[in-house]
Amino acid sequence: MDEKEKVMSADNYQYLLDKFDEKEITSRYQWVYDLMCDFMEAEQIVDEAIISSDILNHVIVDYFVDIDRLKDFQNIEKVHDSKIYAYLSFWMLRHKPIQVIKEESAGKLSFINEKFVCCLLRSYLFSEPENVPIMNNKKKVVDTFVETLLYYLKYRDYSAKNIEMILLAFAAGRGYQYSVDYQNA
Amino acid sequence: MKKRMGNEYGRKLVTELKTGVFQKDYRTNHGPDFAEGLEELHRYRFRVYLGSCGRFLMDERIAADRSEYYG
Repeated sequence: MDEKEKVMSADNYQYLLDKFDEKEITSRYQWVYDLMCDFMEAEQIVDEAIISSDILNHVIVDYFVDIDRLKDFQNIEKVHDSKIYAYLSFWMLRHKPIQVIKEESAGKLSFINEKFVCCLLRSYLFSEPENVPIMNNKKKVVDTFVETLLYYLKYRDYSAKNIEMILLAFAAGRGYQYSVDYQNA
Repeated sequence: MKKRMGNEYGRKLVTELKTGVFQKDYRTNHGPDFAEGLEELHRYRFRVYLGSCGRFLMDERIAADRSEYYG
């Protein structure tokens, strides 16, 4: 067994610190934590739910383990943002770091992690350029996509790979539409 | 019955692996450095989106009228 295999087979994740900068891990943790705080404040649920830092630890570790495997196999130096969003979303959905602390009348919080992830993905897809009003005759198709996205995260089989594919498909559709509009202008 | 060639094909595969003829099919998907720089931009975008009219109105529309599912 060579040195790399020994490190990888250990029953801990120390090897992640050889692969990633400590600052990067801390920074990614803080990034996700901040986004969740902002979301909880916007949704006015700070008294009804908490962010479990222990559970978030698992999200971040599993995310970096996946990214490390990807980098090795796919020969990637820096991963694309679509992967960052997809893999973080996947592990947040799996571990559910937002925990409800309210005993009663918490029905609206049943899928709070799914709602957060949906909001995160929406911000990725709809914020560049920001605040674009959706045309009246296109509202239905866009709303359906968003509504189905949340439904998908709640009830269907998702994976980091198919979340990534959703993001890439959206970007490709947007690129196609820009091209059509440019040609017709 | 056709002669069973499994062993021969297996050895052929090992040769291809050794010589590098059998290549990896992978998709590199490089991005810029997210931790130093982009993270802040994406945090800003998330905050802007969180408080945007677009998000608010979309949520209102979805809550008011469950849209038809095309899939």
